[in-house]
Amino acid sequence: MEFVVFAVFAAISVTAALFMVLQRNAMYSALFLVLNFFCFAVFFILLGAYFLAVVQVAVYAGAIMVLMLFVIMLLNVAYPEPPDKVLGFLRPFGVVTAVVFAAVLAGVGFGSKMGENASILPRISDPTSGAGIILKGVGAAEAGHVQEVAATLFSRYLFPFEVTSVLLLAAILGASVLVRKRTEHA
Amino acid sequence: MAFVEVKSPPPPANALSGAVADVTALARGLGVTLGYMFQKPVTIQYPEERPRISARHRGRHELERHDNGLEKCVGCELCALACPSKAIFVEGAENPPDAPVSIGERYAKTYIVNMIRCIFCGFCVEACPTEALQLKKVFELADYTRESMIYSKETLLAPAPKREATDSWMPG
Amino acid sequence: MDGLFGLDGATWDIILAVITALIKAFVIVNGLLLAFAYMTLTERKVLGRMQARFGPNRVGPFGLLQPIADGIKLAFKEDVTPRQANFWVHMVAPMMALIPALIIFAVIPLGPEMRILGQPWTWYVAKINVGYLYATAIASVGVYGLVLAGWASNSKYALLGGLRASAQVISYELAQGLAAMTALVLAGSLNLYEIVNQQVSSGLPYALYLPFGLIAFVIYVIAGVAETNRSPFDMAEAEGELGAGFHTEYSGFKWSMFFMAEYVNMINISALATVLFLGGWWPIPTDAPGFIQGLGPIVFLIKIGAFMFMFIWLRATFPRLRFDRLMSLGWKVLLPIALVNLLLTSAVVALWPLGVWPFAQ
Repeated sequence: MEFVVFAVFAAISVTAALFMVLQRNAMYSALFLVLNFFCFAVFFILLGAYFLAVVQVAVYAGAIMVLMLFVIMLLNVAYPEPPDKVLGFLRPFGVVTAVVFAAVLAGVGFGSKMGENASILPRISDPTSGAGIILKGVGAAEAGHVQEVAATLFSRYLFPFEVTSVLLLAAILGASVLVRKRTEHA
Repeated sequence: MAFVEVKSPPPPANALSGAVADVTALARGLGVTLGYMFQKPVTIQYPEERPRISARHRGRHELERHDNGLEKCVGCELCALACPSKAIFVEGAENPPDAPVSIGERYAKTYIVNMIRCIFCGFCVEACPTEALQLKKVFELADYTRESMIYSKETLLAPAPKREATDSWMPG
Repeated sequence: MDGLFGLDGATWDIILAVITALIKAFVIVNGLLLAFAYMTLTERKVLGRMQARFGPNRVGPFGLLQPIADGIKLAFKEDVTPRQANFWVHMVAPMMALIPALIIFAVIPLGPEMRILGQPWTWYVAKINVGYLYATAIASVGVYGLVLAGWASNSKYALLGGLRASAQVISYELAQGLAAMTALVLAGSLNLYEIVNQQVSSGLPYALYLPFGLIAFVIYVIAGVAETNRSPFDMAEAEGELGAGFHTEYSGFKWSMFFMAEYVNMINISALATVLFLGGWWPIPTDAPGFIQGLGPIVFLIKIGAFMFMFIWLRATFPRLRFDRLMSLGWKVLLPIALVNLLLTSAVVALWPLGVWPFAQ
């Protein structure tokens, strides 16, 4: 049952990801990315991480992608220049990145079959697996609980958490400085 | 109808009292709408409920008659001259002495009011020397064809009085 | 039922649960749409009375058949897609607005868990631990419908309406979320049923926790009105400036789907505010005898109705805000107040002597 759900949504997810990359229309790309996010939410639910699933939808699909659409609509970049003209020189880098990424994926998949603990991706329906890299070490039973996520985030991962927030704050400050109107009176 | 007197508030002394004044104003606004909700609606439920028409309402034209049944209109065409939208056409004719139509020497052989053109200004009524033309309270003038909006004399003429005209009242 | 068709009891329990959930979902979706239909009539009636007129009273007794007439009219209206519009996105957008609105209600606990004829019965479709987050996540997805409608229509009015809608909803989501967090901190749970249950058992809805609960409640309601794009925050469809905003280029059934989404979202916001701040079925105790427990959903629906009346009342009273005033209200007034309020609430909950805050835990 779980495998069927996973297979269906994995297929949708991969298709959506492919369409996202291959679409020339930026708006369609954004919409397929949203679809992809929803598939991710389903995967999180399958892993028992309800909190992450809901946050995935609320933050990525509900907030960030809406802002992305906002930008796409404002800048009217629905039909941009063909990538050959703009990013032609980047093509070799793209091929290299794709090969490396495929190698990593293959390694992970291969490794998870070979060794018990070599996997960084949790196995489906494995009650002892975590809900992803962030929650590695937290049991699936607790992974869905907000309390557990909070406790892990604010104890073991406090330092990365704070560093991330400082980074985001710096980004916000930088953005406000850049767009600030320079007036003589202010 | 209860109208609320609007007073411009004094400028707030500080931010807090300003906020309090704003919230008070919002609450008063809510009070007004809630108050109206419990009042009787002013709507006239038209087909069942008839509107009260003012005595001076300018509605449909009517050509009046004397008590003896003779028409007041003498075919002078002053109404047609006064009409700013040229909605009235009058064709006068000699009043036959043996079978008088009006009380004067002449009468209106044709009297047409184009109700599509009429703007109900009432100048025709003011111009009429014999008080033959009146604008009545009838306001339901809608119809389906343009032709039917051109009122002939037969349409405009007030119905003949029920009682017989007395000879003693007859002129000449 | 053991052994029927060779299935064991546990399997039958699962099948029964699925069937029950499906029936409940069917009833809720249709109930919401029926409520939407009669909400339109109520709104027109109440607005009418507030403007010293009657509102619709011709179709059927007291105009009660008006929504049916409207529905028939909308269903048979020509469904126009502008030639320059993006056909698929134009078609999907109303669905993306309506579907999230309809599925939020699954987690709303309408009444206490009880037994009917000895069988356990629940007044919700799903009781999940992250119930509140589920509701907000789905609600935040609903804005796609507005944005995509604005973009796909290829009309400047619709585009401006869509942009306004997205900016407004994202801005007010923050204040709304922080206000709701106050209730969540007080309850110490994200499970909507638990939140209600704690308010009922403590006998005091969170809106009456002075002053923090009340402040959070007011902010939540204001942000909720903005979230649903209702007057006086209906910038997205400001008819004076934008034609009809994001749904300018819509007609017929697709337009009515936006209409439904707006009203169902109002019901959702009302239900969530009832759960978070008005204590759900408070003052009916959760563990009362059966027939009194049965009053729980009625109390809940009465509270929702009060909120719906408030929505109409606000629309009848206040003029629309200017867009920059709307943004500054959200970012410079509601958000800081909600943030400070949440901080103080958390401090009180955390520092209450020896952690004996009687209401959380």
